[in-house]
Amino acid sequence: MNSALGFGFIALGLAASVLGTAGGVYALASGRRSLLATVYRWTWLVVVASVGAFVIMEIALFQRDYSVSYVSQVGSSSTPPLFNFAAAWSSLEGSLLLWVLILAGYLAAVVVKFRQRLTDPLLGWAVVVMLGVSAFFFALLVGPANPFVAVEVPAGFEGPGPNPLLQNHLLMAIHPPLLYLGYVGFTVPFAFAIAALITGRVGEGWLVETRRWTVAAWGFLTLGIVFGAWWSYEVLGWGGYWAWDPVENASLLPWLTGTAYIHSVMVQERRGMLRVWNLSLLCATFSLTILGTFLTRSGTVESVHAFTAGAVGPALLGFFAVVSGLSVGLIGWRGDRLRSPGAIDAPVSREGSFMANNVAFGALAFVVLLGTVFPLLAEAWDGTRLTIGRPYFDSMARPIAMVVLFLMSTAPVLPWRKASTEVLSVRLFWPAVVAVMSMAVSLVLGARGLYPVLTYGLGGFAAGAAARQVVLATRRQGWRGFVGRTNGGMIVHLGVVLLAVGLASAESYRSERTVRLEVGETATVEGHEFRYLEPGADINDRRLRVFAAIEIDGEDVHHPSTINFRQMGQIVATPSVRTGFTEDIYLVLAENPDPDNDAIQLRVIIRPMVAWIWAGGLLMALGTLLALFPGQRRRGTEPSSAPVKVAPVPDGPPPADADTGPRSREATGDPEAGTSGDDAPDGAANRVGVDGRREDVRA
Amino acid sequence: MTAEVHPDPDAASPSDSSWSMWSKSQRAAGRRVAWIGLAVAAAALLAVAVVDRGGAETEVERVQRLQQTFACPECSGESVSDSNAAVSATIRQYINQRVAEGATDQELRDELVRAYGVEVLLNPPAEGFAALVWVLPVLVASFGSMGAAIALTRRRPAARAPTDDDRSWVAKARARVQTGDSTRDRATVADAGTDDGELSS
Repeated sequence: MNSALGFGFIALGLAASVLGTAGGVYALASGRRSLLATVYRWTWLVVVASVGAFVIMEIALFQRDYSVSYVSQVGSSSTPPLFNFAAAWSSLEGSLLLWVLILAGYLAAVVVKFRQRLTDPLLGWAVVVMLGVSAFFFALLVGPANPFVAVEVPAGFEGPGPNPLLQNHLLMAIHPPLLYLGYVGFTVPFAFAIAALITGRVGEGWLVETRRWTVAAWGFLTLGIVFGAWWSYEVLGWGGYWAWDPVENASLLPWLTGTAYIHSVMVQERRGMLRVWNLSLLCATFSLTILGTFLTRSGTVESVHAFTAGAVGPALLGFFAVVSGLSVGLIGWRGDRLRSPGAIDAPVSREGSFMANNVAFGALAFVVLLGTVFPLLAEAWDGTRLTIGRPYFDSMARPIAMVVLFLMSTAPVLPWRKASTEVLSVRLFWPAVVAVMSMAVSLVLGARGLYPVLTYGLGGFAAGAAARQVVLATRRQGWRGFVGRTNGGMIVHLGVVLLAVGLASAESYRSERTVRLEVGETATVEGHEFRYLEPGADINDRRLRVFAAIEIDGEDVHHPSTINFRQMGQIVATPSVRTGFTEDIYLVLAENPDPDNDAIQLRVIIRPMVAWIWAGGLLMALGTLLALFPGQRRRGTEPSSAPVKVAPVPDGPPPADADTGPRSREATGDPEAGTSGDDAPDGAANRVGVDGRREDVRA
Repeated sequence: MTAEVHPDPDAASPSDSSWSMWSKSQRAAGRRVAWIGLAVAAAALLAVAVVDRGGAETEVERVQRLQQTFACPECSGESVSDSNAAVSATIRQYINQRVAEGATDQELRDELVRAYGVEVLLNPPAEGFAALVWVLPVLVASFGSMGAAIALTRRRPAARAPTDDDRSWVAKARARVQTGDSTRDRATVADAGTDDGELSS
């Protein structure tokens, strides 16, 4: 029953996506825009189908309906409700179901948000592209990754439940949906980019329309990645949070190109430049989400948490090829319209530093991609089996990270177009003082080594520059100094600094020892006393947990344990972490406690400032949220804003800024007053602003 | 941002009054001296951070460092230091023993490669095809920087005087904006005629 219903829904989703795509292409290509209305009706059917399929899957999971193939793989009557709910995305087929659900959510949001302009071909093509993407994923679900295959199970059959690693921490229920909200979210700007290329409206309009969507997707992806690292740290028991594992790299790749895009897009909005580059970055970001899904979900690259499945891999690879080919082809086809109207005036300027940012993030993305796929290439080349691991990625990523931190310190204070030494020496003075102070403090506290101390210095520099912007903005605008793209962005930067400082400390000053303890014995590691109080065990119908009670410094008692899940027969070492502001103490049982022997092997890992990494990630998410709120808008009526003599636009505030007035003043004089940038006014005004600027140049 | 738009008297005045005893050029000179001081301090602090490493690497530190550079042969990508697999414990033991016996890093590396293959190295060797993994990123970063540098230093084409064509283009665009037809981009103006019928239907 459930399997028939579920399959009905995914078949409906496929049909609606295909018909919507085809109908949309016909309506738009033939110019009969009245037909577009039907496309939006197909859209709603896609939403109904994906919600329906997901709900059926959850019902089947909660009914333990093992006649549904997916439930027989991941269901179990002993799984607690939360993890049973999350089991829906704990394996390949279910995670694709979550993918189409989120994609349908974004589709619905786009159609509702732009409901006033549904006959606009730009929007029509964007919806068609999204429907095309959803057709692909529904096709995977109907074909090679069907979760609703009806299976016969013997009476009394009991499913294995989800992978034990995926059912012992709350973060596992949050991390995948967040990651998918980010991954899938990039479909929206990608769809608009393709639509802009097809309609030839490659100006800044589509960019401004999708700005918030992109930032939101980026925020979800950031939080998803950080939560993934946190989960790895709290659950996997290896004492780390980032292993440069293919799955982690796959999530990092679109994040890196997305970060580059979020920055370089400002150059285009502001100056109309870098059009081809921005389109390429956006298409690359979307393609990389597909490539990442291929790498991790096809089992091509072995990984701790890759799911494997036959025909899904080739299909994803084919889709990746189609997406990349389509993007490259369209960009080439529209090449003439993409030529940018302006040129960059000076390398030391805001736009110059955004370009440097792009080189750094592009290089990092290249390194991560290369390191992830290189073992495959080497094996295909001459059969050599290679491993590319942490030391490689670390040694490549560190110098680039230093460049990024340096850019984060200077870029926010640089004016657009051109900076004078005078401006820089004034605006960077206090950030530089913070930088030297933080280096001095770190040395006094015992830090040594080039990279960590440089990270503290550049981190202080970047934090100073970001704080300067927020302080100046709040002094002028009160609470509004915290919202808007520029100010929110600076709070994201502060989060990045926290994260970088946390990473540098936790990586550089980690110490670890494995000690053998008998009951009542005490061991001392790095000045902390660890006393083995007693062994213990608890058992329920799904698992046997053996733990050791360890008292740290005579204060608190921790219980590192090993858990034996019955269904899987797999033993998982679960760490116990004492989290602190300055250091974490990470306890994990190095081997399963032997019931006949009182002694345990306790692995003690002490890493400073790990909590700063999580705090930094959360602050980045908060900053993203603040950046989504509209910032202070400039109005044409404000005193010193040079008015552009253009009639007001019906659907937006009057155009606000011509490049002649305030900005050139920022570039040349008055170094004390300038803050980092502006939140451009909303779409309509901005678009006219671009045209208005054109007029200034030409007339 | 309104920074440039509303020059804020409160923001500017305190620094003005505190510096008022010096002229503008004196202020700039003072700042230059302060910057030199900051640069010297930063360089000195970094030098201390690099040079003063607190003595040679101890044996325990060396073992830990080495353990992090070898991969657990059975578990993809994990170092023997992080892995709980039995084979990792064996390799850890072996590293311990060989370090105690005074083996060099290179000897240890060769021995483990002989036993488990080159995939036991987490850092791929810089020879043969694998050397590409080290060279390509450097090349890409250099070409990227060069490309950006060329884009940045490219001369802007000299401004030309507006032609009649430009003027009529601007006039048309203005007229379009004034009639409120703003939802359409320049690019679609040409085929506007065919579109309108469908729009109203």
